[in-house]
Amino acid sequence: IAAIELPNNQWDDLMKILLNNVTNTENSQLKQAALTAIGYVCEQIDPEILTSQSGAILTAVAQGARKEEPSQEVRRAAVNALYNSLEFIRDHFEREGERNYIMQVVCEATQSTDVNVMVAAFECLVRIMQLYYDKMSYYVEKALFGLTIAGMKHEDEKVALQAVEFWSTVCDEELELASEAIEAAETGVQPEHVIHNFAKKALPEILPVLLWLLTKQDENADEDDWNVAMAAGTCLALLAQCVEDAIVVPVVSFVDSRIRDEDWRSREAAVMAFGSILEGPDQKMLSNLVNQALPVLIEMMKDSSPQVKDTTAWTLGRVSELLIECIKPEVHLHPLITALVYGLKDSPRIVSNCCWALMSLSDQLGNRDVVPPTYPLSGYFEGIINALLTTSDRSSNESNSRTSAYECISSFVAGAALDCFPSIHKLTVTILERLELSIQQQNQVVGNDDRLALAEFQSNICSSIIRKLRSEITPFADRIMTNLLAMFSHSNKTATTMEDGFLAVGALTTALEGDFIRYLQAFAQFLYLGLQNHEEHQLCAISVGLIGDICRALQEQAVPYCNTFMNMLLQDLQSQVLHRNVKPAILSCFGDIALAIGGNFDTYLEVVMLVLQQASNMRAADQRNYEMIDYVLALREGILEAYVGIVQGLKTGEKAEALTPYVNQVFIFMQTVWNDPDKTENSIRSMVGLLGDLAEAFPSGQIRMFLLQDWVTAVLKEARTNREMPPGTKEVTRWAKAMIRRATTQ
Amino acid sequence: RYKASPLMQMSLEESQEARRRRALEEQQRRRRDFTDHARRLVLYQAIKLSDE
Repeated sequence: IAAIELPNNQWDDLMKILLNNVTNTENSQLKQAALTAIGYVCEQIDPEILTSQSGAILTAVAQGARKEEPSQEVRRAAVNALYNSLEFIRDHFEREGERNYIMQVVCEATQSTDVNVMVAAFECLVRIMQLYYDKMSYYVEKALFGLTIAGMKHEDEKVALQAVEFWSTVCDEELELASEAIEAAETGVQPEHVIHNFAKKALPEILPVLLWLLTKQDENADEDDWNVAMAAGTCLALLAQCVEDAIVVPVVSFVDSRIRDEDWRSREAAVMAFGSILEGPDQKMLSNLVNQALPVLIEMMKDSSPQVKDTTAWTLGRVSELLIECIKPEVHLHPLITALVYGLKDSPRIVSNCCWALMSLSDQLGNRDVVPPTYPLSGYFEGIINALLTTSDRSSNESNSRTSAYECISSFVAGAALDCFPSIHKLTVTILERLELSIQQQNQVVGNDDRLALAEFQSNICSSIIRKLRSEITPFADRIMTNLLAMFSHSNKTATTMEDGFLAVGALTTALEGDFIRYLQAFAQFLYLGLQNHEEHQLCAISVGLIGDICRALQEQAVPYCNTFMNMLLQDLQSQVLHRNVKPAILSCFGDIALAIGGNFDTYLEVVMLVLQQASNMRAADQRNYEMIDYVLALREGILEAYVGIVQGLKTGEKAEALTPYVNQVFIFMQTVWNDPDKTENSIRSMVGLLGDLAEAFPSGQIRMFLLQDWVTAVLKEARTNREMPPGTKEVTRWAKAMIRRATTQ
Repeated sequence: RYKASPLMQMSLEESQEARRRRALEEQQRRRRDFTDHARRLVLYQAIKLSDE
């Protein structure tokens, strides 16, 4: 009620009453309730509303939190209220005298005999470190080092957890400040804040405690539990990123002494410590260690303890993701892959981690863009895929194990080399069989969501296979399209199932090119449904992109469908329901259509040019509305892509003359984009291309006056000299300059 | 953040979002290939050379 009334200048005496209930009563329950209420009010209310009373509030709260307070319940309520007020009392905290008093009260509360007061006090210290890192140097040195190290060793786990959290927070803050400092150095300015390197200074004292806490695992902990060993592991990983090389020697010494211990807790803690420091220290420093550790880790995938195997699988995932150069294919790959494939038969968490490790190997050793004749994973490809297929056939998805297996298969297909294609052909048959089964089973009510998710992953693997095999997919194309069409016409389909199916169709258009025409009539009805589904904007956006794919594949064969495409796209643009983020893609799509059907686009020229003109007038009225600014920038990129497609299409179709009435409109728009300080690099690149296209379309001096404007020269110069430009911009600029020279000198 | 692996933590929605993003990037690349001005520069230079 206070949160509603106080900002409206109502209930003026509330704080006075609450403060009175704290300071002028012997009733400790009333004190507690009043302190709790004060804390909540301070947490919710804009500090400006209670500025005049903030001193009195702080005094009352601090008084309740002092060690002299006889009731520990009252003290806890006061420390909690202080926690909730920490932002509210910012002005007081800035003043040294008041800050010293607050810190003294909180530090004393960490020494209470009541565990709940201690926990609340450590929570306060964590929050203070987040909010006031800049002001902490003196207190860390004088008190917080000692208090938090004692706290981490406290027998009560709740206290220890908060004390560990304090150091995780220090690391978080220092990592954030380090990243700010790098950014500042790049832009040549002074960083706003100073890094005090608390973590580095505290390392000799906190590291042994953290390593000791790693051995305090709870044997029966499940994924949702949080205990000191987990907190220590998290803190250690952050510490490694923060202090970098300094952590390596002491941790390696701990690992050496524990990794072969009879007690599983020691072995697990050793592997956990090793896995936690793989990000932060210098890669060269880690490289030797990883080389020595890999055979041991691989062997530990057969450990008798499930906890040790789980942590080992996670560590192998970290090695594969972060330190791939340490894995020597001829030495490590065979035992590593054997161990990971072996792990795919284990418990769900281990399965997920093994999938992650395998996926990292595939992503880093494979190539998605180029298909080399062979690659280091070729010899293992079929075995891995078969093991993953078995895993993905499990009935449960606990710990995301089944999803991980599907993601991993998709990744392996995407990165595969040419000598893996026979295995991909076999995989295609299996996936199609599974997709057929999933579609048949969609009618069954039990576990329906699960089946739909399966169909989505299977469609996704189809997409990866099609993208990889390109024209080699042709023998499977009929069966793929039959399945996808059955999926689209199914009554139980969802928008996301349709999306994944549409993405597979998009991949098929690129692979089959003109041959896709034989499916278009059957597919068009579903595409139209997607375009008209304004509530499901993601599906609508994919449908719009698919029109582009179809047009690029079919070229002039798409002409009979273009009237319907254009009508639906124009309706989408006018829709008040459709999410605006789809609209830039629709404008780009006009360009795709024009480029594909060339001179045939002149039928739509007048209306499209009018739409583009209207879209060009869109501005972000409020310069603080960043979403709107981004939207306008995206819209402008869409407009530029539309103009590029239209100019190139009509030029190719020998109808460039039809553009004459619109040249002025296009140049005015480009000048507006150029004058915008927020313009994107992509828009400059497109603009340079468009200038070249226009010059090529009017080579005999017809638009000479436009091309000779000063800002046009400035655009070309920016594109040539700005290092932030997307790849290929220099070549586009050279071409545009050549075209402009020709169009202005003849 | 404890023993976090991207696959274990990935929700179905995030997975779907990643697929959408990849597809969009692919589409952008295809569009760029199709309107490839750099390719047009090569063509133009080839024609110019043959004219000379």
